[in-house]
Amino acid sequence: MKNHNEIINMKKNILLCLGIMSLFFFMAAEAQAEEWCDEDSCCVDETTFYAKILSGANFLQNTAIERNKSTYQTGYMIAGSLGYCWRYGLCLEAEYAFRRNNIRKIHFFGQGFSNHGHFQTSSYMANLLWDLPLSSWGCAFWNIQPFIGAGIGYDLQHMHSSNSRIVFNQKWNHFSWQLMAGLAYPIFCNTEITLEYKFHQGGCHFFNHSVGVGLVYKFGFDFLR
Amino acid sequence: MKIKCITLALVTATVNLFGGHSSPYRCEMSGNELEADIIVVGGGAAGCIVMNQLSEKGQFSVIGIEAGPNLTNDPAIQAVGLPAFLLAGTGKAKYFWPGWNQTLPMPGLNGRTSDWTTGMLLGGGSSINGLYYGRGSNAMYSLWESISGSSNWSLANILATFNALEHYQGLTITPGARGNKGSLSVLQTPTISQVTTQVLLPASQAAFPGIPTVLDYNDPSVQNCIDPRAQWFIDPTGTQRASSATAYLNSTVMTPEGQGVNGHKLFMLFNSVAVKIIFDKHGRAKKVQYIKDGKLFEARAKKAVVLASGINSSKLLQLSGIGPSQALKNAGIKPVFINENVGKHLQNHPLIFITLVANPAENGIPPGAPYAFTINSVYLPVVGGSSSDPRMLQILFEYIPANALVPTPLVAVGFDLLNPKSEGSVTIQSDNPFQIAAADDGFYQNPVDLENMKNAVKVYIRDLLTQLAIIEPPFYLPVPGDPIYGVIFDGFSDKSVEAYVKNNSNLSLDVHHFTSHCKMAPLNAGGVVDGDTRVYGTENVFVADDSICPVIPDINTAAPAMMIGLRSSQILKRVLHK
Repeated sequence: MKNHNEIINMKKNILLCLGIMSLFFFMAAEAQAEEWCDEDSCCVDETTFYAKILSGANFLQNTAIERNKSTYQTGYMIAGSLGYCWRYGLCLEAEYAFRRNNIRKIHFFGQGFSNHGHFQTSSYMANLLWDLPLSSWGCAFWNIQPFIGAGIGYDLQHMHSSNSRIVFNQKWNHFSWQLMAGLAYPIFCNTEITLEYKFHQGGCHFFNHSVGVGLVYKFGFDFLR
Repeated sequence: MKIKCITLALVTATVNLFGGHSSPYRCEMSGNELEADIIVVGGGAAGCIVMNQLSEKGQFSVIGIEAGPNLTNDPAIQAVGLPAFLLAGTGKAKYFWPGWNQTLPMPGLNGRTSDWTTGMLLGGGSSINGLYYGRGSNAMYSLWESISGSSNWSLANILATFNALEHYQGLTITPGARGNKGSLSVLQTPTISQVTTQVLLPASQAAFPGIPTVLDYNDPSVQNCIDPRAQWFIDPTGTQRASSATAYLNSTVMTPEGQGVNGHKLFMLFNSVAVKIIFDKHGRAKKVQYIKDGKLFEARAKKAVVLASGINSSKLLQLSGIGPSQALKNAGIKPVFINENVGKHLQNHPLIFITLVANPAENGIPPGAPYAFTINSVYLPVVGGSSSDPRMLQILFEYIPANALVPTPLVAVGFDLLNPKSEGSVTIQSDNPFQIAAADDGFYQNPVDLENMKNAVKVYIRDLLTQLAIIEPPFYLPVPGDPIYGVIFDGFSDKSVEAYVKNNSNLSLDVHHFTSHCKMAPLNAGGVVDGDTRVYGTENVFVADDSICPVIPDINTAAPAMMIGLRSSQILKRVLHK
């Protein structure tokens, strides 16, 4: 019952964050779109390399690994990626992401429990992204570019906790996968800001929901052609 | 006020810096498993010492698995004197292993069984035994090196280990022959009782004329002897039991809950029964399964598993797939290594009691030593042998004051065969770890043992009773109804003596001196472990308890078990650091 309530609370937090960040993003987008991306400016799709950094909140679902049950506090995620975009909005990127959540409570099988510790993951991912062609569908919206994507990769995970009797340390190495969706908005000719959501699963126990804001830099962009 | 606070802070910091305090050791855990370098199974007479020694100075992390609780502070356990709970039937069943109640019927005892109750608490048998301290003779220990095939167990190494163990307070014969810096308090009875001086000592000296009366029956130079001053597992004040738990797992080593302090990387699991060792395909032990509160757990051993479980060591090996092929097959256990010697070659001391009526006018309690209920000890060679021959018989005289149940003071004369050749066995019956193993002491299966015991009755006991009868008649005669009267009235005939021996060995009190069922010897000579105490067929499983004795010690086996614990620890430190 307690776990169920925590899942509901986590979902509420995700929705709240999404709402606040979306509002902020749309307000900024509206203001800056007028300034930078008028019809004579540079915001045109181009095949190019890009780099991205992303940071935000990470929500890790409760886990029950064999007979150790754990719940987690809201944590953080920070990621960086290098990618290449082709025409038609298809992009391929290599991503490194680091996620860390403090443990709210962990039960050690036969050895009591703890309210301390953390779980962290380093993910090495290959992602395929697709910019949805809203303009060709006739529903362009303030130069906001929505995108979706998916990735596969490998997770290096580490959980650490302790109480007065034991020190818990466990490492796992797992294949992982993720789905993502987001919105990108050009703030300069070679720079975009993004708002993203990622669902990331590492192994069969760890389900992450990440919401963050990113900054994309496009290399060799052709200003004012 | 500020100055006071600053002073207090400085004092506290200084105490913490130099006071040797450390936070209790916390065990590593990964997944569902606790893990450590070494898992020691059994916190008994030997196991407590192994746990202490291997975990000290943080050289190895150690998980200790003990089936019983830590009752070191239980007043009944601390008490000295005649232990009222030597038998489970006295209402202290909580101190004893359930399931080991009875052996198989033994032909040597005319089909009777023997009670195998053993201690199930920290300290094991050393926490519940009769407190009598004995090392054993040089003649017996000098066999250990040749039988084990290893100089690890030379007589010199064994004597040095006893010295390292002991903090002896008593009379000595040979300077430096006894230890005085060890952790284990050994207290010699400082006085001699009136009953001993006036009756038991003169009767013994008259009955056994070639046997010297000595100051210290544990001196390495002493073989057979008469000694009126028993030595005890008792603290220097004479008020509390000294066990391997109080000596080696006390508050300077661990918390009452079992977490190591002062540099000991020790983590105890109490009330936890080890049920199986898990091996990889190369014969390397990886984990130990144990049951606590009805749940099955596993603990991971990174370097080694050490069994110090006493009578359960050979049982646990068999449950883990190391044992006789037929036993494993019958139990449905997949073999890890077939060794027909596991559980075999068990030895024990058959014991007979004769109860005498003491003179109420004489005090049997040594002055100032109310704990000293054994008031005379005699060690004898085979009948017709000399005082320097190997020991064959131990006679202990125990004084029982008059009480509500016994209106007259008594002297119990217990005599047991110290050098049995007979061998018993421990064999599992199924893969259920809680099912009692099929076991027996094998008493008198070797005709030499029966002959030795019969001769002891015919000569030693007859002569002793004769001498006792003439000192203060009608006192110091056997109580009416004592079975020895049947032998006396029959003129100590061979037939009546044999019947007496078979019918009365281990009748009123069983001896819990089980040894040698994981014998240390070459594999083709009956061995289960080698001279490093490593179990044949495994890389990293060791046994360190009385079960590895190459031959049974010719004395009570608690002190030899502690010697084995300490000596094995020294060997294991060297082996595991390689």
